[in-house]
Amino acid sequence: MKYFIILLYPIFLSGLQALGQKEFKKSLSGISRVEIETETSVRIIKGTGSEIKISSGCTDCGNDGVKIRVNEKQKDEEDEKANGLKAIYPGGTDNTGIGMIQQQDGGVLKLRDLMSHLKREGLVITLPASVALYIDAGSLGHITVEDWNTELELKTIVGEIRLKKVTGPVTANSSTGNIEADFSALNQGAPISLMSSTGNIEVNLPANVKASIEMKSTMGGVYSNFDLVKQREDGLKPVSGHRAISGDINNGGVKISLKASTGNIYLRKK
Amino acid sequence: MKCNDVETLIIDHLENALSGEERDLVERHLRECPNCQSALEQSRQLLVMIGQLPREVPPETLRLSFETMLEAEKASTETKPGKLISFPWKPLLRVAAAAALLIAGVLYGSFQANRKTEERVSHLEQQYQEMVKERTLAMLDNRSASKRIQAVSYSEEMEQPDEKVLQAIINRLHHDENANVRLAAAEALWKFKDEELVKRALIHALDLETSPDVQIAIIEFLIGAREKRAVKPMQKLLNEPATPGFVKEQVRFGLTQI
Repeated sequence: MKYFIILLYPIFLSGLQALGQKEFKKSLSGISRVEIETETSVRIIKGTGSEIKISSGCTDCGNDGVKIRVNEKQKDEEDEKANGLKAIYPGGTDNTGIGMIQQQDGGVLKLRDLMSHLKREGLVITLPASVALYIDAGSLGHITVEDWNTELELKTIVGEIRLKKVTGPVTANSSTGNIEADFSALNQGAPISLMSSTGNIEVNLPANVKASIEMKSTMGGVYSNFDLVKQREDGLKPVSGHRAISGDINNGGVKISLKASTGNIYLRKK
Repeated sequence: MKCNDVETLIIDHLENALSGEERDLVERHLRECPNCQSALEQSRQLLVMIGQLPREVPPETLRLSFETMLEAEKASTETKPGKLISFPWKPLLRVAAAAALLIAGVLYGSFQANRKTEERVSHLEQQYQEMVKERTLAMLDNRSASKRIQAVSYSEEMEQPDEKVLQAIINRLHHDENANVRLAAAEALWKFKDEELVKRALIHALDLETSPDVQIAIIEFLIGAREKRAVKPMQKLLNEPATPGFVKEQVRFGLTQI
C-alpha cells in the first residue's frame, strides 16, 4: 500500500500542478510522432526543450470573441462547490490535468481532448520540431503552425489552416476552411498535399525552390505568377486526363498537389 | 623476370644480341626455370638446323625461263597499250567485295552489341520495376500520410500493373483515413483505368467515400472511363441529402456524359 501511494504520488502531484497552471508537460524522449485530436483551435509553437507543453486558452488562434469568453471560463474553473471533486468527461478519464486523455503507443503520443468546443478556448502547444505532428481540430477549430520543418498532417472541417515558415512534408485537408501555407524552403523527401473542398488554397513559395506542381480546382480558378504551363509547339492548348494544371518549378522536384473543389487556388512566388 | 619476357629474348640471347643487364636477368631466370631451359635448348637446335641447311641455288634454267617470260610480258604490254586504259573492273569488284564484307561485319557486330545492350536494359528495367513494386508496397503502410501519398504516386512509374500493387492502392482508396491519400490513390489508378479490377474498385469507392473532393475525383474517373455501371451509385449520391450541392452538380453533369 505504501508503495502504491509512493507510485501514485508523482502522478497526483503533477496533476495538481497542471491544474494550478492549466498546463500539461511531458518529456518527448523516445517519441517521434504526436497526434492531437480536439474540437478547439490549436496553435503550435516550436519549443527549444525536449518536452511538450500544452496550455489551455489561446487568444490568437483565430477564434472570434475568445478574449471575452476566457474570463467566463476562469470563473467556472474556480467553482468552490467543485472542491474535493474532479471533473469527469463522457469521453474518458482525464490523465493530463487539462481535460485531455494521453496515451503512448510505441513512439507515438496520442492526446485526445475531452472537453467540447463550448468549454475549450483554444490550445497552445509548444514542442520541439523534431517530432511529426498530426492534428485533427474537429469541426470548428483552426490550426496555426509556425516555423516547422518536420512532417505535418492536419485536418479541419470549418476551421482554417495557417502555416508560416514551414518546409513540408505537409498533408492538410479542410472541408470549408481556407488553407494558407507560407513555405521557407521545401523538404524534397516526401510530397505536399493541400486540399480544401470549398475553401481557398493560398501557397507562397520561394522563387528558387525545386518542385513539381499539380493544381486543380473543379469549379474555382487557379492563379499563379510561376510559369508553369508550357506552350505547346503545335499551338494547341495543353490538355491532360484530369484537366489539372501541372508544371515544374526550377526543373522539378518534390511533388506539390493543391486541390480545391469550389474554392480558388493561389500559388505565389515570394 | 617472367617466363613470357624470357621467351621473347631467347633468340636474341642465342645470337648474343642482348645488353649486359638483360643477359644477366635472362641467365638468372634460366638457372631457376627448367621450362625456359628446354625452350632455350629447342631454339638453339632450331638455329643449328637452320644453319646446317644447304643454300638453295636457283638452277640456270630458272633464270632463262624467267628472262624469257619477262621479255614476253614486255612485248605483250608494248603491243596492247589500249588494254591498260580499259576500266579496272576486277580490282573494283575486289574493293567492293571487301567493303561489303566490312559493312556486313560492322552491322553484325553492332546488331550483336545492340541485342546484348537491349538484354541488359530490359533486365535493368525489370529490376527497376521490381524495385518500384517493393518500394510501393513497403511504403503504402507507412504511418506518415505524406509517405503513403509518395508510395501511391510511385506506382505510376510501373509499366505493367502488378495485381498485388493495384490491390494495395485500391485498399488505400477504400480505407485510408486520410482524404489526401485517398485522392492520390484515385489519381494514381487513372493510369490503369482499363483494368477491370480498377474499374470495379472505383465504382465501389463511390459508395464508401465521404470527402466531397475525393467523390468528385472518383466521378471524373468514371466519366473518363465511360463506365456505365457507375450510373446507379451516382444516382444514389444524388438522392443523398448529405451530398454537397457542388458534388451533385458534378454528378448531374457526369450522368449526361457517361
